[in-house]
Amino acid sequence: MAAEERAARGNRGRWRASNGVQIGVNRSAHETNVTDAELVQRAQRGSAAAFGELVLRYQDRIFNACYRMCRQHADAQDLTQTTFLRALEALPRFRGGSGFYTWLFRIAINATMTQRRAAGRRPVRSLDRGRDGDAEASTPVAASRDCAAGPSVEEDELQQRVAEALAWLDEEFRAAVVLKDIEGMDYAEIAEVLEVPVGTVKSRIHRGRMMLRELLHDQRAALDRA
Amino acid sequence: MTGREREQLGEDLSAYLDGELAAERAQEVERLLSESAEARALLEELRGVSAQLGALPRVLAPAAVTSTIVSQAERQLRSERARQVRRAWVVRFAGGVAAAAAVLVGGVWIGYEAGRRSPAPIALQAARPAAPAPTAVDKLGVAARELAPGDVGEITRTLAAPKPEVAAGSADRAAYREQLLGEKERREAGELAGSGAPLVRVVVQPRDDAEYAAAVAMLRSWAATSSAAGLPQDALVGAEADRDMVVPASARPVAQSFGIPVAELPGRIGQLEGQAPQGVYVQVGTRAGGAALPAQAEMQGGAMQHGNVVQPAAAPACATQAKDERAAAAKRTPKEERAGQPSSEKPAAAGRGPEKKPEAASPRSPASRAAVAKVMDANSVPAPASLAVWSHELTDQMLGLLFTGAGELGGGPGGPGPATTSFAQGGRVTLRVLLLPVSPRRAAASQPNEERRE
Repeated sequence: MAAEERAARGNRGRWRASNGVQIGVNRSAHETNVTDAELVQRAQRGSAAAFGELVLRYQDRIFNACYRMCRQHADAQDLTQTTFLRALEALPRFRGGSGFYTWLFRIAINATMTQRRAAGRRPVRSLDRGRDGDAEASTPVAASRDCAAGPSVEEDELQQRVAEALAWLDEEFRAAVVLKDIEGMDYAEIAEVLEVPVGTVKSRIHRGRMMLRELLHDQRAALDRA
Repeated sequence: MTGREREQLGEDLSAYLDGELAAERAQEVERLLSESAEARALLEELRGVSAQLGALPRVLAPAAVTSTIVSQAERQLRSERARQVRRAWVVRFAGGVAAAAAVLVGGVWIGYEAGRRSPAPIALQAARPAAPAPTAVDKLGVAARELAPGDVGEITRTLAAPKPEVAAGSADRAAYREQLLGEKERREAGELAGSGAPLVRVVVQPRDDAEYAAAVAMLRSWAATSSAAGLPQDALVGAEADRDMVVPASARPVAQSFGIPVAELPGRIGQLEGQAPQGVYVQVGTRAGGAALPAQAEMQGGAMQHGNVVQPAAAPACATQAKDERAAAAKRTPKEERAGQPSSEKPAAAGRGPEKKPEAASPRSPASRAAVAKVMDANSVPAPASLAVWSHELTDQMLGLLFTGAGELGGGPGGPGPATTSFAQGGRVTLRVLLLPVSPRRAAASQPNEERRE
């Protein structure tokens, strides 16, 4: 399904602008073999196609991370767009000291944190499923285009509970566990993204997991009582 | 076990789970796990939480995200391109206006100077063994000459444009300079260097990665040298890629932007350094259709004698002036030609002291070079000993107000090569020194740069 979607995206071809500025979103075999560093270098030289390729390469990961941070499709969409546009603006200043993708995630996480602060640090979601427009409820897990068959009812419920519990974590702990357990980054990369020492990352990940453990216990207890 | 020790153990269990523990500590944790059921239970719970998070479905970005990013990015790129085009036109217009104003101003000033001083030609002054103390521009020039061989790139020294009422001799140069600096430059200086230090731009316009690497090496060398030469540590150094304005699509530059203080430059560009080729030509001059390129001076082994760096342009950049220029050049005797150009001796820039005596006020006379020197001096950038080299061309063109660096190895008379980029911007004049690598490939591959000819 994901492959079909990608193919459909690719078939949309290129967006052309009247002045000749165009951003390619087709993936040629060559482009998929090009490293991030090469694409970044080309984008810095003014290649819109290279930037388009970077967008294609990372938009899903950025979107997923933003979604897991804010748990709203609309917000995740805005944050993903904001991330790439800020990256485009900042690209000339990108020195390659860190990996492009950790740099991109740093922009995304910063944007998400800023958005969360602007929203008054309210809990992302209630643990009462669907009560306040639960994004997970309005966008079923089946919407995950990576899962062709879709999860079973039990799996679905468990995922809902995990997602809800995740939403209750403070942003700093949520970001750490999202980057570790969902994005699969190592501690050093997370430290770069969050701009904190590795020791802090280690602590946040553990505390985040411990909080999740408690929340999931509470959920299970509440379900048992019901 | 205290609460903190328990917390530390928990963190170590998480890190052990993630494979992030050092080997020694990992062995200790394994020993603990083998002894403690509680620790094993906690580890399993942590493993379960981690696995549940990892099992969350990955949500893909909707197609609308891609299209929105692309359309907004296009708008951004479009506005940037439009801004560059606008800037190019403004620059050209400003250049024309500045040149016209300069002719008027220069004429007035030269008249004043001619009446005040004896009309000794500047060529005689150039023959004097005077060796004025290095100036800021000198230092910049020296820095450029001491680059590693094969460096490529452009060094652009931005000077304030002349204003007649102050150019005649204001004591308050700092205030004058402040007055001349545009708002944009002041803002840039404030933002990037935290001071109103002289604005120095480095423009890197190489044509491929190798040249870019060489340019970076040049920047590193230049920054180090300029620092040693006593340029203000807080002088603002920037680099910009005018790719859409001056570089043809067939030769996109590998450009980087820098906006950092001189003192930080070596460290910041260290990561970008590359291997420099084996030689460098330094040219200052113009390339006009059918006209001769300025003479070249080759630098081998890094050092170049003072005064040998550049040769004046024998032809104007402006095609409409080419005929007059060729006629003027034809009238010069070889001796005059040599005298009017830089030699191993340092020509004293006229207008810098009472002993300097420019001759009659003619737009193409040596006296007009003195006007340039005076102009530079009045802008807190005293004329360097080699100014005659640089100002000669300017004199021939527009009373020395447009400092241009250009030329392409192998371009030759009438041959291809990038035309000069000369402009005045925001009330300032830009001096460019273009460093080109000695490379047969470049000579063979030199192509017309249509965009630069605009």
